[in-house]
Amino acid sequence: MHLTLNESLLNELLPLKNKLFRVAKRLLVSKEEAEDATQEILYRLWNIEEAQRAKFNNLEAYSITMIKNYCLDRLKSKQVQQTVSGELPQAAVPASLSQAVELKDAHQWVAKIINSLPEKERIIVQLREIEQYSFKEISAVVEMPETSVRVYLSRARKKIRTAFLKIDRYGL
Amino acid sequence: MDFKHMSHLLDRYFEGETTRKEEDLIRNFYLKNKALPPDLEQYRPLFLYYHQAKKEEFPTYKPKRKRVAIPAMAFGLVVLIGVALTFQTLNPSASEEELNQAAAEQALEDFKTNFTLLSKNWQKGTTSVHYLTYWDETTKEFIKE
Repeated sequence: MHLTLNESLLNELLPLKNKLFRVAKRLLVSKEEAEDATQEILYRLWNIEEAQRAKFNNLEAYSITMIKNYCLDRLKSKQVQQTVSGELPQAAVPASLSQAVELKDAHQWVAKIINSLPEKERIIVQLREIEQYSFKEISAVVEMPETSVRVYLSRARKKIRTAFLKIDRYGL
Repeated sequence: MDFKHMSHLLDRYFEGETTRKEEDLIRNFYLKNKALPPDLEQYRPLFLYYHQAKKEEFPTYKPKRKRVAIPAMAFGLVVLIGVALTFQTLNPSASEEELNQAAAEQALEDFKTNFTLLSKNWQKGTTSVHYLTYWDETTKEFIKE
């Protein structure tokens, strides 16, 4: 009885693993840190009391909210360390053609543009463009109203477009 | 789909006004069509990136270090054995008797050092016991008072 229950949980959690990893990597950027975060969240989900877990009608949305908060906490503690040593990290949009050429791989370049967005915009881009969530689902995960989600998303898309046009002007 | 309609759709996309269906349409448009006019072509990397990024998975492999370490250790071991063997074949001068003699002498030497060490430590132990009894007596005197 107990085994079958755990098995069903396992079947629910395993497909989430990749999604959680992608969200964590979008926020933390580092692959190793994203792996650690994913494992931590899976471990926590595994240990939640069954009665409590039954209350979540959507385990996926719940777990993505969990990993989002976990990653933001990690970033916050890191930023504290960074502000001690110097200024905040600046947006990494390539300033010139040579810089863009250096990155060669177009995917790497796009990833860099997205990862230079503020955290809120970054996670909304991840959920909308890559995981293809609806606005309703995103608003549940990021805990803000749909209208704000739309505002953040369009702001992010415009920034991405500007980065693309900048490169285009230099004839890439 | 004609290009004019697509660039209009893209404008709406960047304003954040498109539905998920329309966004799928844009993605599929880029996946299907190659060599588009430059104003459309420029966004190809973006939508291809989104398409690819969804396939990224949690890495299943474990650190490569282990895989490298085992052949390296095996290689090292082989070299060591090789060196040992060549030394043995190059220096056949020491006969078996001589070796036995040397081994016996070595054993005796070891025995001696071991026992001197043991006796030294034994001495130490007994002197500490003396101190301990002394300590015991003096503290008793203190406590009496």
